[in-house]
Amino acid sequence: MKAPMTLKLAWRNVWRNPRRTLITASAIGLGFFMVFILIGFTEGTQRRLEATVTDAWLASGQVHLKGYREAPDVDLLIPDLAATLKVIRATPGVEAASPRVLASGMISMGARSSAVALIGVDFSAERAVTRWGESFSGGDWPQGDGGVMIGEALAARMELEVGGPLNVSMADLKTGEATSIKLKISGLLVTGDPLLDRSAAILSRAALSQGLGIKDAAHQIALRAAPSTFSALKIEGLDVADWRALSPMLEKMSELQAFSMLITLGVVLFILGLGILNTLTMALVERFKEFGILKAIGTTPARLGGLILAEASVLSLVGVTLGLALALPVHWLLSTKGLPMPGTEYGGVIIHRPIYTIITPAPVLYLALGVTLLTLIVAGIIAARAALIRPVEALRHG
Amino acid sequence: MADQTPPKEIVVALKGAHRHYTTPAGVVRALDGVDLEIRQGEFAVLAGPSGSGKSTMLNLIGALDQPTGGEVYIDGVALSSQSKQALAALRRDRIGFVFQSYNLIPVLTVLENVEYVMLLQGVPEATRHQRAKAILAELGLEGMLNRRPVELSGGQQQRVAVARAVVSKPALVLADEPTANLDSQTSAALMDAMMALNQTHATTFICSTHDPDLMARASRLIKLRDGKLDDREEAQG
Repeated sequence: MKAPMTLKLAWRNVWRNPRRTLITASAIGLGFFMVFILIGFTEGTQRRLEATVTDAWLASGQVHLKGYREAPDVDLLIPDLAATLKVIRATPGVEAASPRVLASGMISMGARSSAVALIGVDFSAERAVTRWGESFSGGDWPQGDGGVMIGEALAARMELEVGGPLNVSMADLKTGEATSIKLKISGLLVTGDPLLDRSAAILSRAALSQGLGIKDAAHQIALRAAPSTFSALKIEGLDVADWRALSPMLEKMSELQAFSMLITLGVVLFILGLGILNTLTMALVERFKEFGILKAIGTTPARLGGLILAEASVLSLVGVTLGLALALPVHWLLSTKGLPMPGTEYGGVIIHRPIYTIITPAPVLYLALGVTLLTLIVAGIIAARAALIRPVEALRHG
Repeated sequence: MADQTPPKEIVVALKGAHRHYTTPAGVVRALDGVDLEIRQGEFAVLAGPSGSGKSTMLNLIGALDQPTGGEVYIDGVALSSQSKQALAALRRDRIGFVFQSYNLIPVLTVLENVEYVMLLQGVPEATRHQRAKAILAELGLEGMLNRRPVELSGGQQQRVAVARAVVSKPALVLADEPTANLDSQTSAALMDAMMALNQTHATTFICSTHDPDLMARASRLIKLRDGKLDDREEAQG
C-alpha cells in the first residue's frame, strides 16, 4: 500500500472517535508541554546557578599554591606573583585574572563585632573577573584603598550602613601582633554566596597586605576564562581548578538535576505510552472485525502493522503539535521575562536573579527520540496483536 | 503415487476436505470429507440448512481457514503448501470476497473501497480510477463515488462490495449469503449484476445462500447437509 493512502486511512481512523482522540492527544500534548518546559527550566537553572557561582567568589576558576585548597594556611603564598600573573594573562582563553589575599580577621563598630573572612583584592582587576558590581543592594565599589564592601546580611546583623566607618582587625603574619585599620563602608553586596553575604569583608589587597605584613603577594588568583582553558593551564607548583572542581557538591547537584530530568522524562513518556496504547487497544477491540476483513481481502500483517504505526504516529503528531502550541508561547514568556527567584537556595547557593528557560538542541532531540521510540513500541505491540487476528474468527465477530 | 493435482480449468478443488472443531460438547464435524470441483466460469450456489457447512466451505476455499484433513486447491495449487504471505497474496490477487454484512471500510469512500485491493496489488493510480469507476458505473453506482458506506442503503453497500470483489478481475468470487440482508427487489438487482459479471467477465462465482431465487438462477446447485455433499440433490442449472 502506498504511503499517502496509508496516511489517509490512518488520519481518518484516528478521527473516528474525535472525543477519545482529543483526550489522548491532549494528554500527550500536556505531557510534552511539561517535559519541554522542564527541559527549559532545568537548563535555565543550571545556567543561572553557574552564573551565580562564577560571577561571585569562585569565578570561572582559581589558582593556588599546591596544598592550599586542602589545608588553607596564610603562609602558602603564590611565589613570584607578577611573573605568574603575566603567564596566566597571556594564556589563550583567559579574559581576566585577579590576585587575592585571604585571611581571617574581625570587623567591629562600637560594641558590635564579628569574625569574618578578609578578602583583599585589586578592585579594578576584580571588576573584570566577578560581577559583584551587579550585586550591590546599596553603595558601590570602593574608591581607593580606604573602602570596604560587606554583605547586606552581615551589615543588617551588625546594624551597619553604607558610608559608615568599620574597623578591620587582623594578625601580622611575622610578629603575630594584632593590627587594625579603619575603613569606610562603600557598598553592600547580595551575591547569593553565603560566604560573601554573611561573613566576609572585601577590602583592597594593598590594605590587607599591609595589615598582614606581606608585600605584593596573593594566596589565590581568580580567573575569568573559557572552560577549556583550565585543562591547558599548567604552572609548576600551582594548582589550577575550574569552578566545578572547586565546588564538587555543585557539580554533583547538576548531575543529580540532569538525572532527575531524565527520570521525569521517562515517567512522562511512560504515561504518554500508556495513553496511546490504551487508545490503540480500544481501536483494535472495536475494529477487530475490520482488521479481519482487511486481512481477508489480502492485506499482509506487515501492511496492517504499517497502518497501525501510521495511526500511532498521527496520534503522537497531533499530541506533540498541541504540546508545542502550548509550550512555545510559555517558553517565549519565560525566556524573555524569566521566573522570579527571590532568594531561593539551591545547593548552598542563593539565587536572587530570575531564571530564564533555555532550550538547547540535545534535550529536545532526546524528547523527540523518546516520543518516536514510544510510538514505535506501542505500534509494535498493537501490530503484533493485530497480526495474530485470524480473518475467519474476525468475520464471525460482531 | 498418482498426481492428484486438478486440471487447469478446475478453479477450485476439494479432496476429502474435513473441518472438525473440538468443543467441550465433543467434536463438531462442520465439513466432513467433501470432494468437489468447480470449473472456470461456473456460477455455483451452496445451499443447505444452517450449520450444514456452507460458510465453512467458503472459508476453506477462500484460504481464510485451514482444513483439519484433506486438501483444498485453487488453480491447481494446494493451499496447505503455501505460506501465510502467499495465502494473503492469493486472496489479494485471485479471490474476491462478498460478505453477508457488506464489510466495507467505513472511513473510505465508495471509490476508495473499490480501489483498495488494486492499491494492494500496486496498480497505477490512473488505471485504478478508471477500472473502479467503470465497474461502479456497471453496477449503477456512478453518482456515489465520494460517499461513505454509512451514506448508502444496504443494497448499494452490497453492490459496492461486489464491485470491490470483482474489480481486480479475480479468478474466483466467493459470496457468503450476499442477498440475506436485502429486500427482494434489491436482491434481484444484485443477482442481475452478479450474473452479468459472471457472463461478461467469465468470473467464477461460488455463493452460499438460503435464497431460492438465487438458487434458481445458479448454473450449478451444490447442496450440503451435516457437513457432507448431498449428491442426490446436486443439480446442474
